[in-house]
Amino acid sequence: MVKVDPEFKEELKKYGRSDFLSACFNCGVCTAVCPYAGESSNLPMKIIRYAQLGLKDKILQSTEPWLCYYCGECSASCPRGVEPGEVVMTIRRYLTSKYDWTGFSRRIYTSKIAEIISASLLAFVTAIVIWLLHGPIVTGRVQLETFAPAHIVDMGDMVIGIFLAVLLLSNLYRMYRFTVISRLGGKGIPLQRYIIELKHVIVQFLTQIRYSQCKIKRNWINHLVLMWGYTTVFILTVVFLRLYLTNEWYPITNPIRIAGYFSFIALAYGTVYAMIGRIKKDEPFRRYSHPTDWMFLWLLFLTAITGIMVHAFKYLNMPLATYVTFSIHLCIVVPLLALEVPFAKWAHLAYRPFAIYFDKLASSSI
Amino acid sequence: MTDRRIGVYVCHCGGNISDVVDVKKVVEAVKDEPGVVVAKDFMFMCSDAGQQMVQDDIKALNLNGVVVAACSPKLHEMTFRNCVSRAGLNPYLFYHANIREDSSWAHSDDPQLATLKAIDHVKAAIAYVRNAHPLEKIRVRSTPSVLIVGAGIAGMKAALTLADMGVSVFLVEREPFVGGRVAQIGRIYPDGKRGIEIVRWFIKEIERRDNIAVYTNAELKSVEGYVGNFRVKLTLHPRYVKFSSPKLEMAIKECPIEVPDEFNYGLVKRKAIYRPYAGSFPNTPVIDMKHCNLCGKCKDICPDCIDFNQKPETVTLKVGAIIVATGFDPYEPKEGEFGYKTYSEVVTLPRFIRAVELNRTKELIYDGKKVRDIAFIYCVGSRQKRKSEDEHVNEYCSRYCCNAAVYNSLTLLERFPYLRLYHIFKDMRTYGKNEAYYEELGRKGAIFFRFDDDRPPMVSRKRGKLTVTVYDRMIDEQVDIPVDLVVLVVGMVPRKNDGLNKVLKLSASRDGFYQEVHPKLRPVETIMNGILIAGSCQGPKDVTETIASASAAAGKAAALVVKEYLTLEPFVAYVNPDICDLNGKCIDECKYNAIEIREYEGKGRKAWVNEALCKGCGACVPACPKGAIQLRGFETEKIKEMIRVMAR
Repeated sequence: MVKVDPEFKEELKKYGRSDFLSACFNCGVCTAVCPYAGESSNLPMKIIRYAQLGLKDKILQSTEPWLCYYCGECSASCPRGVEPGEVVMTIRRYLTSKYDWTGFSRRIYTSKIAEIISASLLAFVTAIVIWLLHGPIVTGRVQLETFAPAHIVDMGDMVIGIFLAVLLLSNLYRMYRFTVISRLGGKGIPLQRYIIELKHVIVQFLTQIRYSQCKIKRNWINHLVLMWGYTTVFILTVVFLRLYLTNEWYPITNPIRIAGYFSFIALAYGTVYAMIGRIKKDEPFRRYSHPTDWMFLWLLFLTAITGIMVHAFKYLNMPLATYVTFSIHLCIVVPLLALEVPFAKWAHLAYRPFAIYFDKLASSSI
Repeated sequence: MTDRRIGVYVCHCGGNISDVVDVKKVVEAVKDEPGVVVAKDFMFMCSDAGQQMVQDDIKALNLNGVVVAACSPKLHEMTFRNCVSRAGLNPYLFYHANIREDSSWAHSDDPQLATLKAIDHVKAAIAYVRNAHPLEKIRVRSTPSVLIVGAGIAGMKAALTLADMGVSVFLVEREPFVGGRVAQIGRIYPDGKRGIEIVRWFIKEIERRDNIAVYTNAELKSVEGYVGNFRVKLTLHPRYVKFSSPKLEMAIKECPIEVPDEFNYGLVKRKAIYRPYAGSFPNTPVIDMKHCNLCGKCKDICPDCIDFNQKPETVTLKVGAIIVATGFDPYEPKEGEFGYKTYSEVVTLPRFIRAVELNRTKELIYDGKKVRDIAFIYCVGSRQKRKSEDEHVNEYCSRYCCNAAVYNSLTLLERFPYLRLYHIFKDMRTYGKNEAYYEELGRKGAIFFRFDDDRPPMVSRKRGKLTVTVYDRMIDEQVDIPVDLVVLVVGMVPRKNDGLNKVLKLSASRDGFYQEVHPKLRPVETIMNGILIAGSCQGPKDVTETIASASAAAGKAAALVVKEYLTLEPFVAYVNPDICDLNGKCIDECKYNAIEIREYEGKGRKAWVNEALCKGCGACVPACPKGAIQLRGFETEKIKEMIRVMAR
């Protein structure tokens, strides 16, 4: 038994354009065209109906919003202009804020000002930390590793890494409680299932193969390229930091240097492509941009640009410009990671693969 | 018998007949039948050339009988009757044999048998014509006035339409005031005009015409006679108020009696001397003697206008036709049906509409409580499913309700935009142009739930809050909807008119509404010649449909009376008074009350057929053991002869 909550529609509006929701007369065309709807799921109709009736608990228990990749087929075919894809997108934002126990996510999703202030504050704190902890400034030639000693950056990496891991894992645990435990009704799941089904997380994270079920494959490829771009740069800056952040100048054939270029191209291409698309509103899923969408793209784009500029200034042997740009780079990277990964759009890197995992767990017990 | 000179014409119907029936063989088989002078076949008998051929033959060969073997007589019997008339022949010396529907179409798999059957039918037709006599149409005098029973919008519309055609109208209303149900409704789809405005417009128009007489507080006592010549007796119940006077306003104020106001479904009180609303017609108030305690306070204020000694009067009217426009009653839910009468916050749509109409504040208040969430439950009293064999249910759709619930919600949201509306329906039937309202209401945020008969919504109180529980198919869950008010969207049921039904003996369909002769071809006529039906007494109708049907009934009534005479087909029963022994069996058999007993000059009292009432059904003929009653044109001997020919 569930109870209608007419206030919910108002709450949802804070997370994005869901005002078309009322127009839905439950015809089901969206589900008929949805590539993700099937025997086990009637995306997006069920979720739309939950939202229409304000069934918050039901929404919280659903993994379906994460199983939608917003190809926009539903929005294009809806006879009432409900924009089901956008409603589900809005629900993903809502869920992100609900999984987050700090309440911070809700703040930045529902207030543009809170978002900008948080990002600025993080950038400012980073700047102060750099100011306090940077090494000697060598002006004769570019000595980046001397300016930013790798062991200190490593420490920074660790601090941020632990911070992110704690938040993300605790949020994932909450998601697990909502989507699995609450649906089990006291029944248990054998331990081996937990291990076997884990393969979905890995496969999905690396290939995002579910995304390829959308009719237009280009969006999947773009997204995959973007994902591999930041994964590469993540590995470079965390695992291979000592090799990456160095005073040395590698030859063009050096794999670290090649990987760096790849990351830049992938990130720059991916973000510019997405930003142009959002300006032109060329596809249903880029028609309604939330402030957090823009914030995420800009931070990612600027990260890539400042990263390559550091490289360029180093090549041009402009020590001060290199150090300043590197500092700016860090002032962008830190808000990008600390804000977007646990609290906002980037959290989907964890929620999407784990949604499949949790879905398998919940259904395996039934 | 046979100085008949008969022409026989067999039609090909462009292959419809001749592809199966061998028409040449038919012609060959009948050309030597007694009386036949000429027999021909032709491609299309109904064409100008075919008809001309018949007319030419009548003149050239001096024919005095014609048989056309073609399609169904329903289609072209009149065509050929007119055709032979034009050639100077009595139209009843013609017979139309059906060899298309009865032969070629019915037996397309067996052309030989089809042909034999066609030959038999044509031979029988020839036998009929051989024995036929010229007949004349019956002429009945008709009184150019019409009685209309019920002064709701249907009755008033019919009255206006007839009055404008120069027909005198007697408009009779049982209640003390005209206007009917529509006066109670607020804004009405599709244009949003208020019910009371519609009624006032009609009243104004009626007052402008001098050939409409309105009787309120009046009941039909008896109806005698037949189409064109009805004699109607009315009982006029006393009003106890002789005329309208400004002093009466004070009298109403001073009246000590207060009773629930039926016009407002008891939401407020009225006095024993009252009028339902300002500007009612008649404007003269009425004293409700059921509740009046004869205290005389009103009489003290206006001694001239009050008369407690008024007695019922009887009025006799002569009219040519009667229109019945008695309307409907809203369905009254059973106790406990969706929480009706169990919870005070469960209300029917008509009562809810009155509550909204009486609400003068910016907030919607019902029963003293503020209302924010409202659930509308549809199809209450309509489209009911029978649970056991003998259970009486309303199987029909009441047509107006989906539109009314949706349109009312829109007008509600205009006045109270904060309302949250839940519509729980079986199927949304906002047919025609009203679909746009459903569309709009969805966009305005109302939430719709569709339910099936096997899982109807339930109304209960949960933790002190009225709650509607409904199964939602979309999400496969029982959903609780906490609300402040449940509105039951009730259907229409036939109005209780036991007295009237006894007087008029109209037939009703299984659902209890008055029945028309044919839903498409004769939609406002009843089996009682000269008695027509208009509006929702015939079945659920909205305002638009009611007005249309009232106009149709008025047109049909005018056709019966404006010429001041009627012509009827001659195929009616007649009595041979020499044989009749007055055993009365034919009288028992006749369901149209067309047979009575009359004094025949020199022959005493015998059965007599009122030709205006007789439908020519022939039920009386076999009832008479003496064979004294016969159907003109289809006398027993004639039919026997036709059968004899076929059996040969």
